[in-house]
Amino acid sequence: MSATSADSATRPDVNIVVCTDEYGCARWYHRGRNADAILREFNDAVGVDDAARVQITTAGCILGCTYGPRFDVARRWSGEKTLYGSICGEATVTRRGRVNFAPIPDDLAQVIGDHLPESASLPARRHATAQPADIDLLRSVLRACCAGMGDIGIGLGEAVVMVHNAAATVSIPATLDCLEFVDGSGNPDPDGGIAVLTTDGDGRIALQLSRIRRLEFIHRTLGNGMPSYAIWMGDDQLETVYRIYLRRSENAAANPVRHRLFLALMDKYGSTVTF
Amino acid sequence: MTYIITEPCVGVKDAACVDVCPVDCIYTTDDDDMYFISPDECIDCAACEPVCPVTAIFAEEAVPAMYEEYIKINYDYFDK
Repeated sequence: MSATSADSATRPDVNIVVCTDEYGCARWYHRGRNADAILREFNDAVGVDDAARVQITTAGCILGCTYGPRFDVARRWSGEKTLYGSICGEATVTRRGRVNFAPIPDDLAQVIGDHLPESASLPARRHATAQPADIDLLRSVLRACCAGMGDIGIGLGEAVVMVHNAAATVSIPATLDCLEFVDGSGNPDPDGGIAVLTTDGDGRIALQLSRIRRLEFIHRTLGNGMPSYAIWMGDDQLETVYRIYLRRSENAAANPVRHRLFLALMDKYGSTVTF
Repeated sequence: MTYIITEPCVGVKDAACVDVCPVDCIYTTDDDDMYFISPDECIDCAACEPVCPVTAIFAEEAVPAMYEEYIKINYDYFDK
């Protein structure tokens, strides 16, 4: 029989488990933070007074991959658990099935305070609030992607646009030449919830910003040695719904510029941006 | 591979591992004096290992020699 009893064991009020899976969470960034940064912020946030009440640990894949950082907060004093991810709301994920994610807040120290017994109701309230800041970020990323579009061969406008759903995939070569934001009535509005990309053929692609939850910059070298550049957007069900592949510009001088522009965007936002 | 709960859990049953397990694969009954991890359900995430206050949980291949009998105890529990 063990000499250690339950009474002598430390019993934290809150366990925070940060997914640092090297094949998943450790590689992804969400609003400038990856798993290591989240872990560091949590550790920094736990003061001496809270060290015995809050335990922060790492884990491999804690099923519920959101293609972004993930952590679980288990409130031992109430028996509840909150899943935080780079998406928010309901999603169907691997073995966990249908689960509800709370968004990862900017202030991780507040997460700790929220889950300690004195203020346990805060996470639910936070989860229910709208997140206009996320749409602002998406608008900023789209504007950055579209910078220079009107100058043929300079921006990221020479592309193959792919729209995908469970039943069909449509790929259309296009030259995207304009980005604007409109409101629900189609009126121009810099703060509108719909992004409209127009093409040289008078085509229009409308994106409901509130439904876009993930944007990925994908840069690969193909089997033939040629580089590939793509921007993928995913919805709240983690489905990739919209992809833009850059076409090689007929203006040869423009390709190195576009290469640098694409890598600069990856440096600025990370390979994955979640909203 | 799975994780194995060993002798230090006996009589303690702190349940910290149960709270953090993402797939709810840690079981016990009122009649049991310790917890057990279902080897078929464990996903090897290791979340349970560091939260155990009595260092009772080990990866199967890292169970200390003095606790090796608990590998069989753990498997047998789910073969009932």
